[in-house]
Amino acid sequence: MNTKNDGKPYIVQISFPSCLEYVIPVRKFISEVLVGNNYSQKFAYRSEVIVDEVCSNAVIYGSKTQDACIDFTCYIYEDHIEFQVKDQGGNKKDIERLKVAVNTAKEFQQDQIDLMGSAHDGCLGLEIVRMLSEEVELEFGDNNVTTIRVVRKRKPA
Amino acid sequence: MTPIFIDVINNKEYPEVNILVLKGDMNYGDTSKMLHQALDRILNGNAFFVVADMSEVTSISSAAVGELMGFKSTLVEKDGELVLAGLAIDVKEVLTALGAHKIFKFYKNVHSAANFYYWEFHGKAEKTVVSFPSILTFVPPVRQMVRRIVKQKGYNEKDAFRIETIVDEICNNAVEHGSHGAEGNEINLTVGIDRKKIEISVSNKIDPDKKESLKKMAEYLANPKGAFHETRGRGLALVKMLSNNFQINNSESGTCVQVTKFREE
Repeated sequence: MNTKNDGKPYIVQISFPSCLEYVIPVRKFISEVLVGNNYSQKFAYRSEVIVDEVCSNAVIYGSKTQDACIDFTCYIYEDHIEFQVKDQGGNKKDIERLKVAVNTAKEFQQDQIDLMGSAHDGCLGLEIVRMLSEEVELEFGDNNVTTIRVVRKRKPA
Repeated sequence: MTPIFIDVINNKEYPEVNILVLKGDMNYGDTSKMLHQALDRILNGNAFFVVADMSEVTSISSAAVGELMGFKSTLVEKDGELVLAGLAIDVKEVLTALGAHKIFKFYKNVHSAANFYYWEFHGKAEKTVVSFPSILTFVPPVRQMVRRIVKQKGYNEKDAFRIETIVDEICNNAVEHGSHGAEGNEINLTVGIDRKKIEISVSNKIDPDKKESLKKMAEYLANPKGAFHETRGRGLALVKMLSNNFQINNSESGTCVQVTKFREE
């Protein structure tokens, strides 16, 4: 497969029930799509780790109703990919924890890796996402609806 | 030692599910008495599906596990159930060592356990919607994702493989006979799954140059004896054989294929 699409991304969208059982099929799907779009196995696997973390967080913290669903969008460019995950709103306490986790992760420096020091409660997943990606952004909408956006660039050969 | 705390709460999002909140060390003291009081409260109501939220349980004794088993038996007699959610690793290890994993279903959290209730007792259908570019190489990941979902939901390998075959055929057809390219020509796949059946729907835009072949395909499906091409049309015939209901709706804007497959086991 080639990823040439006049500079425009290929877009894959998935809306799935907010249930952890769905996270494994979704993360493997994204990994296989990336391999099919000429990204390396290593890149695809690390992206799978990101998808697992952000989707699991959305299911665990962003779903209050029993019919809640998670909206996942993947933009595939030639030189980078972008994930957007939108949940249906969690509780205020979890949102505050998430904000703290993101701010903590932003301060994380690649040259100061101290895994024991970083592995404090509730932040490790996001720190892993931060380590494996180039950009992580959070948006909070009405009713605590949270959207997380992750950008990951293809490493030059 | 963290003192034991037991309460029964009802979440308005899951009105038919009682949540038994357990906290602390379930080793000593009044564990048995408190569990019996909680059971009495539940039995006085009419919601007998109970999720034990054990996310804050720090330890558990074999006696307490025995009490929970008795609790479950009473609920099952009333057509209810007791499942455990949010177990810490060490508590889960103790329960597994005692063989409780063969008796109780474990769930990551209360939300997942409540989902199980609506799936198992209410026949709730779960829907996954995927939109992907009309390009053949996207099809294998899509069909494999559907197979994995079907397996995760407890269908057997045979059902899962047949559903994968159905998805593969209709998605390949959508790419082959529909409009090509990425922009505005996405293929939309919807998978609805419940305990007894799977409903698959694939829709796409029509390539104007292929209207004639679609017409022939529809005629062939109406009368399979007269094959429209010696080597073509086998995929749809296969889908028809593997499914319980199969429909193609053609309109000016696009094609929608709908397939229903009942669970075989």
